[in-house]
Amino acid sequence: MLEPATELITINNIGDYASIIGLFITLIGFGITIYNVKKSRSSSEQAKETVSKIQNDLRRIDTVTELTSAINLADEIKTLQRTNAWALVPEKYSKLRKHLIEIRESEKELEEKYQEFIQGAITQFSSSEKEIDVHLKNKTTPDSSKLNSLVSKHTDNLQSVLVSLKVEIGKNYEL
Amino acid sequence: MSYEKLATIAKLLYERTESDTIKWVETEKKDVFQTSFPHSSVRIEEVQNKHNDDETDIRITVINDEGSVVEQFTDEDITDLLPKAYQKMGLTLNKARRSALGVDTALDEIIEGLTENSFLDDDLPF
Repeated sequence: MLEPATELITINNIGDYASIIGLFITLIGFGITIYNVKKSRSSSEQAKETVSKIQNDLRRIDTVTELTSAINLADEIKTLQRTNAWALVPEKYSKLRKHLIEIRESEKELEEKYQEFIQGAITQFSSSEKEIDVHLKNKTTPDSSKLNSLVSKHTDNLQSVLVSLKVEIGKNYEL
Repeated sequence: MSYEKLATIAKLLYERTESDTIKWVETEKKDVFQTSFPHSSVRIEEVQNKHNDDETDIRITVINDEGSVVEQFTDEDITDLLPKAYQKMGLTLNKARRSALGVDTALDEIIEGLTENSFLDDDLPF
């Protein structure tokens, strides 16, 4: 029953044409597959990049919160120094210093200038803590206006670190 | 203690202070000045010489990333490694003081202000 059809295919070399067409279709299929794989790979790379940016921003938000607490603590120290509540101050300085060490460790990509601001504050607050301890031991009164002026200067520097961090949050997203 | 490194620190502080490329600030102690790097700080001050009460030394203190003192040396310690160590460290201290207190900024502003108004001299009848 199929004999006439087979004869037609053989005489006209239809089998060869079909193979060539099949090959073309296969090549087109390959092309489409490679294109789709590339497309999905670049999508997954983009997704990874976005996730990494979100993670960086979440970390920055944490740092902003930490730094805001540190600045509030510095203001608290100024009030305690102004009211001569010296016995409470060394512990606050110590806490403030630890906050700043954590902040610097969590923000390793911070601009050098801002890292220097944080290091400067750590050094000063550590020295102020020791200075007050010596005064407490000797039962003498530290110079509150000098110490408050130093806290203010370093707080101003920390404020500029805070602003730079806030500016960076959500900066590199494509809409 | 590596005196070579300390001498290098003193030399570089002198050079960078002279070229105004580091910023010194005041500290809780009078005439002690501090400059900071990302993970360390340095303080500079004048102290009494250990052996002679009539003489003074310049002392540099190195502070680590947690605010603790890790090294301290005077010009006497590095005098063999840094020629004119006392003079150089003394100049560093002097410049650090001027920088921390904003002396040069204030003087420049006054000079600028006076220069701007110097045209008044021409109108004065005496």
